[in-house]
Amino acid sequence: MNKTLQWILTIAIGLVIISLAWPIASFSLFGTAEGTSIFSIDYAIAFLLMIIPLFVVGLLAVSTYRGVTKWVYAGYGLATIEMLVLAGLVFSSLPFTIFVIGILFVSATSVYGLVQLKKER
Amino acid sequence: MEKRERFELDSNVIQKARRKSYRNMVLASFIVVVTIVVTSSLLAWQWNNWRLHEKMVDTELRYDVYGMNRYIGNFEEKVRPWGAEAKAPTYSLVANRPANTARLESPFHEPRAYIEPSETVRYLQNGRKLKMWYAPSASYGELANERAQLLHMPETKRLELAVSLDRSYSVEEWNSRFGSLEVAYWLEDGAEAESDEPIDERFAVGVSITNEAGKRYASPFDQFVEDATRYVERTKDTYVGKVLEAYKKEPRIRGVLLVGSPNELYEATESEAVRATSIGAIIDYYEEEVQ
Repeated sequence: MNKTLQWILTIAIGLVIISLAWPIASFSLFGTAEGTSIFSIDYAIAFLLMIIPLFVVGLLAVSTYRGVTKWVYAGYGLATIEMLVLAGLVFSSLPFTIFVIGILFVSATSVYGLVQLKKER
Repeated sequence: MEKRERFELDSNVIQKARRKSYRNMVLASFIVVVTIVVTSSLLAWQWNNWRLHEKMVDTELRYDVYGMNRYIGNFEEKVRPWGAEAKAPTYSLVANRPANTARLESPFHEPRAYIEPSETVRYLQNGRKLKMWYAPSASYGELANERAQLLHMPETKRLELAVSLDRSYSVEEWNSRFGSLEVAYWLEDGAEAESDEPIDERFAVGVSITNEAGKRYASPFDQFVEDATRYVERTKDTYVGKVLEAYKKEPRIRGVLLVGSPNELYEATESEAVRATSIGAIIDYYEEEVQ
């Protein structure tokens, strides 16, 4: 696949994941009192909820940049699972357990992939 | 013999490698296609969702400034990856009850076509009668005068009566002469009247005293300024912009919408300040003892 196309797809995936993770992260702040410090545990959780789903985008960016085809395709597969799981929680009634398992599986595999990519260098 | 064996082995390896390569290609293409479909569907979904919400906010604000006692209720949305739609009931409030209910569906265009039995009466094709407003600065061939019809009505009716005034009054000067019957004010738009066509309620800009649930605003005029400012900012509606500018210069009203029983309305509109009267929504009302 053309490298430009790969970058376009990576950016589109990033957009989708951010736009889906954003409502989940904001919803986690639902019970937070107004005026809570930005360095509080609540904001840390919201921040993590934004960051953890973005690991796969990091994997895609690094592997696309290096041209490691194997991890690029693995990344697409993982990103698809993640997008479906996120959309399932936001727009539909996906059980929360499946959501957590899906996100953790995708993010853990992405971190593993990033470590592998670092080793291969 | 040995050589031959080796050759068979080699061809096997090549075949295997070729098969594996095909399998990888098919798998990779499949993953890419699925990813592209999922990504573009979700992007379209988010985009449609966002566009629909923008339109819904615009429509709610439009009903806040236009319509004269016409309100829009809660939206029912249906968002799908390829296409989003919403619908909401619209209604007039008569004695705190929704009347002349209609459904407005996305893209939220108002019904345009109407039937005109006479020069001063207009009905939408769904049966809703439109209240007509007459600007004091313009002269008309014929003015709506439906006040006499009130005498033929039983006292178990409650109805809207659009009263166009003989000139524009400042808000202090007007000082709600019709008291608790008043539910909305038609605002002066500061323009020289050039057309002799009456304005029907769909295009009349005014201040509602209550919200869409029939609850009175603490300060309806401030509420109007807030809504109209937001509406003009979002939709660049030049007519509302003009009305708002005129309002900020000097708040003047040129019409008032009354809701009450036929008798109350008949007595109240005896005043000299009344130039034209047009009936809107009518409901049956049996909750008070009738004298």
